[in-house]
Amino acid sequence: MEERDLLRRAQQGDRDAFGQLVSLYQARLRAFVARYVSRPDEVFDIVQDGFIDAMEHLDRFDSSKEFGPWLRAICRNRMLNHFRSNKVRQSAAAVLVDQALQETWGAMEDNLEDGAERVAALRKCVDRLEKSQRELIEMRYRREVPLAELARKLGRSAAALSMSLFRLRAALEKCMDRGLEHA
Amino acid sequence: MTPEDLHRLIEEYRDGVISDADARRLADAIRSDARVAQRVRRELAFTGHLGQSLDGSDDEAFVRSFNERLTAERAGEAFRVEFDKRTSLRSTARTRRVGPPQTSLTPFVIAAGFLLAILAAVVWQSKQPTASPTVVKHVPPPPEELPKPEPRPVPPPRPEPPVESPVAPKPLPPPKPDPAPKPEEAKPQPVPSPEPPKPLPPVKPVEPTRVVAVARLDRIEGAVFVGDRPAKVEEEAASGLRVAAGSAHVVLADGTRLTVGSESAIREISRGPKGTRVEVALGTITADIARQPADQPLTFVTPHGEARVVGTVLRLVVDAGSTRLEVKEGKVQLVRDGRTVTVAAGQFAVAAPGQPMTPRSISPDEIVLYPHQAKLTGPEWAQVREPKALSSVGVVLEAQGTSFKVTDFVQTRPSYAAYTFYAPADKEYRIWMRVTSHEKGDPWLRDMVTIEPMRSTMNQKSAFFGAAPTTAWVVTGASTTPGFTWISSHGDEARATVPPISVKFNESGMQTIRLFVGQPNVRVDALWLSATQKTKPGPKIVPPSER
Repeated sequence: MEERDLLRRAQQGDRDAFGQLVSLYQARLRAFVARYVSRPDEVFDIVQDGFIDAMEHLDRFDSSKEFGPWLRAICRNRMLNHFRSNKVRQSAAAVLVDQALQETWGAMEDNLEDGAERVAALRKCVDRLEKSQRELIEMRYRREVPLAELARKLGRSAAALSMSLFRLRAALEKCMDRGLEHA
Repeated sequence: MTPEDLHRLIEEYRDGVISDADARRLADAIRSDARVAQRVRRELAFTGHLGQSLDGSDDEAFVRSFNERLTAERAGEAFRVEFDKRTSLRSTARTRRVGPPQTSLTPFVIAAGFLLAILAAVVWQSKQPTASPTVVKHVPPPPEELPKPEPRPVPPPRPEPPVESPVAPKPLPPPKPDPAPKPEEAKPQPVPSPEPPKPLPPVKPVEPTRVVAVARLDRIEGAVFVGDRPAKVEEEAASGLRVAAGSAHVVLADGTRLTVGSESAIREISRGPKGTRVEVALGTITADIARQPADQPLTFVTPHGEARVVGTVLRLVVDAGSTRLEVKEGKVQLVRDGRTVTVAAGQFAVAAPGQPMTPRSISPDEIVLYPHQAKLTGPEWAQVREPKALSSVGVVLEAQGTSFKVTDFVQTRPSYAAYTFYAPADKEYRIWMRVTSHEKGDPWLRDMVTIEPMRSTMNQKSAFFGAAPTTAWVVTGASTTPGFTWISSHGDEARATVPPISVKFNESGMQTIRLFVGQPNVRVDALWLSATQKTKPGPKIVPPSER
């Protein structure tokens, strides 16, 4: 079904149609949010919150406009609110860095496709990793196991583990860039 | 700053463990050096996209989770509405005569099948022989450790969506203050569904009398209402006091102090020739009761009966199905269905259908919780037969898997196993979990369980949750020993660099511990909270209560 039809039905209260819109846009929105929020669980929550906002205010959406930028703007606002309220649970030190970073972000209006392409390219690179490397990346960047905890589990020093991750990331980044060039 | 240094700082920042000095250094560098700013943004964006590349392939899971969340949020809203209905109290005159019994309520009382009468036998006969209407003995009004609302993970105010495609980011509105804390309200956390609203049983009318300032609000914390409006300190609260979250401290005219806990409602406090009546609709009331004249007792009326006392320190916890009486000083006779037990100081007893009304210690050294006692919410745990289970019931909890990550805030997770039990605030309990991983294979994927003692203080904080205000702890190492073994913070002693976990509950009373699935293939048998077992028990050790 065409996106326009889905939108029309969703605006009439059809939950299934809205669910299909969620399917259609969630990966792009997650990639967009992930550029600014590195924790996958937080990305997940922000995008879900964004979809809930969108659903609640769908009647305000002007259906002659593009739906993607509207969703992106909702998620951007969600992100900004997230950072503001995040202060209550982060260390004061981390908040200092948050603030400095947010000053450099600009309008946060990335092309939704760009992030999704990067994620897709990166996924291919991750799939080529050896099992032990994949596990390490998985624990650190998907499960978000803290570096100190991960080092303890692996019986390594945090500094040595940090260096391993640094190198692994550099290799993945190169691989991703190559993938994007050839896409 | 080398790229490696920068990477290390960013990782520490992400874990929330960056030092003040390093954070300042990093923040300054971001502001003053565009290349550093670009590098940091790039690193973080890459980290985010890396996380998505590992996590973001399952569209169906996202949509399913989204739908589940919608459903859970609606259930949470339904609970709040139900709670409000249940405790909603008509705004009436500040002191009013208790109305005559409504005949329509009588069948409820009969059908309820258990009229609890707590007859005051009491107390202190050796103390204070004269019946003075003034306070004869006060336990020092403790600054009660109040049940604090569970911290909610990042409760952002809902942003207004743009009406049209935006061109520039909207300036942020000033941060809205969090709404009055309602524990566990905003996230999809299924709350045990309350019984349908039950009317209070009829109460005998109290003869009218001139009453002045029967009950005064001495202190309030959180969302406290008198009638339909927010309560104020020092105002009279004789009618329609409701604590949605937090607590209210009420002082009666004779000096009796009542602490009304979270999710509690007092329908009316009135005073007449036959004494003072406190009609409790729901919740937890702690009372430090001044000595009353023998013929004018203080009477608590609950949906299950009455407690009449002439002076003691007690606590009543009234919920839909039971009334629990805890006695701190003196003695109280608890009567139900013709059976009487004497609850002495330091004991508690529960009056409820099908439950033995046995007085037990308020401050036990050992608390053992078995899988069959756990209430399972959601699909992530299952009770399965296990011949090596400690209890005679022969079941354990088995982790079925989860779409959540071990670092997810437990407050956002809708599926868990919850144990509810009594424990005091005056003891520190070491937590031991009898656990095993029943499958071979990748040890990363079969050894984690998250335990969350609610409304408590832990002796240490889990590194998995950064600086987040949570008592949740990730127990790891279930796979390091074959067969069932007792573990606390970590199962592998050779690698364990942290001591066993222990907990102190914030307030004496009914406690809740929740277990969340970390990874599948883990089986959990007993939980043992011990004030005496300081070191790791051997695998064949059986907790004292089972010996």
